[in-house]
Amino acid sequence: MHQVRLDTDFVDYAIVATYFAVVLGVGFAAKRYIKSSLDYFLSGRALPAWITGLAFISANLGATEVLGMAANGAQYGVATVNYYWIGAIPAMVFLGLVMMPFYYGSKVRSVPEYLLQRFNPAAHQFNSWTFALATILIAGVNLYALALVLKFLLGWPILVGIVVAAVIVAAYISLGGLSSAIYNEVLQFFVILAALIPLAVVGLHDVGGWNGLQDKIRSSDIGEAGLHALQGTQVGDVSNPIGVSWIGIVFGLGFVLAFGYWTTNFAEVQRALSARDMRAAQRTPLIGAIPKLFLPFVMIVPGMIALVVIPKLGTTDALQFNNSIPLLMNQYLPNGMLGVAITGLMASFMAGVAANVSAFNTVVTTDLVEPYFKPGQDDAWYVGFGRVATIGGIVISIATALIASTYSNLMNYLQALFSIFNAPLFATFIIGMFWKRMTPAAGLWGLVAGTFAAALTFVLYKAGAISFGSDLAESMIGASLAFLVDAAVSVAVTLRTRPKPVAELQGLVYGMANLDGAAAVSRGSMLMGGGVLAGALALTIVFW
Amino acid sequence: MENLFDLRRIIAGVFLAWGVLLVILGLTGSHAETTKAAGININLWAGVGMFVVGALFLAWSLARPLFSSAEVRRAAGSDDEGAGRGDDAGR
Repeated sequence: MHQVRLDTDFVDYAIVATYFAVVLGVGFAAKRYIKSSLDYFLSGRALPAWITGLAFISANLGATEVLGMAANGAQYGVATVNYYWIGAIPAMVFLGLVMMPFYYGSKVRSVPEYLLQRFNPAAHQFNSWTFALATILIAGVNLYALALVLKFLLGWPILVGIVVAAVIVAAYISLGGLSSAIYNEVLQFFVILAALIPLAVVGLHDVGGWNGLQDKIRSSDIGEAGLHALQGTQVGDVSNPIGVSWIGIVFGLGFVLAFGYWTTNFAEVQRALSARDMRAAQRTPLIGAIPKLFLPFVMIVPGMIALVVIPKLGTTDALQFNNSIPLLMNQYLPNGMLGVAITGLMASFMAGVAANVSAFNTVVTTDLVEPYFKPGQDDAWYVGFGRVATIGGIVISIATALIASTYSNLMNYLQALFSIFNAPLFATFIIGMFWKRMTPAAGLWGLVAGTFAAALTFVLYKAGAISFGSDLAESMIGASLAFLVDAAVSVAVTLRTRPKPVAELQGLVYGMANLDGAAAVSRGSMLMGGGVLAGALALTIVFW
Repeated sequence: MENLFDLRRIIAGVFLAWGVLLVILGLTGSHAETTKAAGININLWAGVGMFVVGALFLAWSLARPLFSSAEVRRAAGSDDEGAGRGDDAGR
C-alpha cells in the first residue's frame, strides 16, 4: 500500500508517550481501589453520571466510528447525519427513560444476566456465548483499524501496531478493571475532541467557511444532493446519495439497527450499570446523547472538507475515503498539533478495543464461569479469573484482527456482526420487557431462531447463493429478518408453553419496575431526554 | 490521597501540560507552519483552548473535592472511588 508518512518529530512522539504513560498510570491507580469482584467488573456501582455518560459515548467512538463517519461524509455528504440524529439519539433516550428502570432496577451485572432473571439459564447461556464471541470479533476490528492507521501514518508494520496496542489495553484493563476502562474512556473523549476540533476549524477556514464548503460541494461529483439529510428519500424516487428511502432510514436504521445496538449492546449498557444510583444510570445515555448531537460537525464536516481539498479522494488505495482524516492531518497540522491528532486517533481505537474487552471479561466471568463452570469460589478468585479473561480476550482479539483484515470495508463487516448478534436480541428484549406472558422457552428459541436467520442470510450472501444491492443492504435486510423471525418464534412458542409466575417478574417487566424514590420523580431526566430529542429534530430540519 | 485519583485532576494535568507545550510551539513556530494550516497559528490557538479546558477541570476539582478529610475517615469502610459531591455540578 502506498503511504503518506507524516512528517513527525520528537515533540509529536513526546505527546503520544505522555498519553500512554497517563493511561497506564490510571490502570495502576485504579488497581488500588479494587476490593471485590463488583469493584472490578462494575466499578462498585459508584460512578457519577457525568463520568458514565461520557464513557458511554466514548465507548462508541472507536475506529470505525471516527474513520468510517468521516469516510461517509466524503462519500455521501450531509446525509450521513442520519446516523446520528435519527439513527442514535432516539435509541439513547429510549434506553435511558424506558429500559433503564429494568436494567438498573433489577441489579443485574450484565445484559445476559437480565435474560437469566427474565427467562431461564438456557437463554442466558446462549446469549452469553454469542455475546462473548461478538465482542471479541469487534475488538479485533478496532485493533486492526488501529494497526492500519499506524502503518499509513507512521510506517509501522501491521503486526507491530496490533501487538503494541493490545499490550497497552491488556495492561490497563487487567490491572484496574472497569474503572480503569471508564476513566480512560472519559480522558479519551476529550483527547479525541482536542484532535478533531482544530482539524475541522482549520479545514473550514481553508475552504472559505460553511458557505465556501457548500459551494465547493455543489460543484463536486455529489453536487447539491450532498448537502441534504433527507431530500430525495421519497419511496420510489430515491435520489439521496445513501440510496435508501425514508422508510429504510427511519425503520431499518433508526429502529432495528440503532435500538438493537444502543439498548442491548453490553459494551454500552455496562457503563450505565456502573452508575451509582438509578438517577445516574438513567442519565448516562442522556448525557452521552448531548455530544452525539454535535459530533457530526467534527466528524462528517472533515470528511466533506477532504472531498473538496484532496484531489482524487476515493479513487486510489492510499486515497480511499477511510483515510480522509489522516490525509487532512497530513495536509494541515504542524508538529505539536499533529502529535495531539495522532494521539486522538490512537485514543479512539484503544477506547473501541477496551470497551469490548471490559465487557467480555465481565460476561465470561460473571455469566459463564461463575454460574456454570466454577460456582462457589471466593470473591477474590473471580477477580483473578477476570484478569486472566482480559488477557485471554486480548490474545484472541489479535487473531480476530486478522479475520477483519480480510474485509476491505470494516464498517460493513461491523454492520454484518450487529445484524447477527444485536438485532434478534433487541426483539427478545422488547417483547420480554413489555409482555409479561412471554415464556422462558420463548426467550431461548426466539433468540436461537433470530440469530440463525441473520447468520444464514450472511453465509448465503457470502457464498453467492443470494445477492443484495450492497454489503450494507445485506446487513439491513439480515437485521430486519432476524428481528421478525425472533419476534414470530417468540410469540408462537409463548402461546404453547407455560409462562413464569408473575411474582417472579418483579422488577423485570413493564409495570413492575423497582424504582427507588429518586427515580420515581426524575422529572429532570424526562426534561433532559425531551431536550435532546428536540435538538435532534431541530438539527435534522435545519439540514433537511 | 484519594483526591489524587480524581479523574478531573488527571484530565486537568494532561490538558494543562499539552496546552503549555502547544502555546510555546505556536509562539516559536515558523511562518511555514502557519501557512500549512491555512494561515491559522493552530498550535497557539489549540494550545490556548486546551489550557483553558485543563484550567476549568482543575478549578472544578478544587471547588468540589471528592472527599473532604472528614468524609475520607467516615468512608474508610466503603469503596466508592469515583463517587463524590462534585458530580452534580458536572452537567
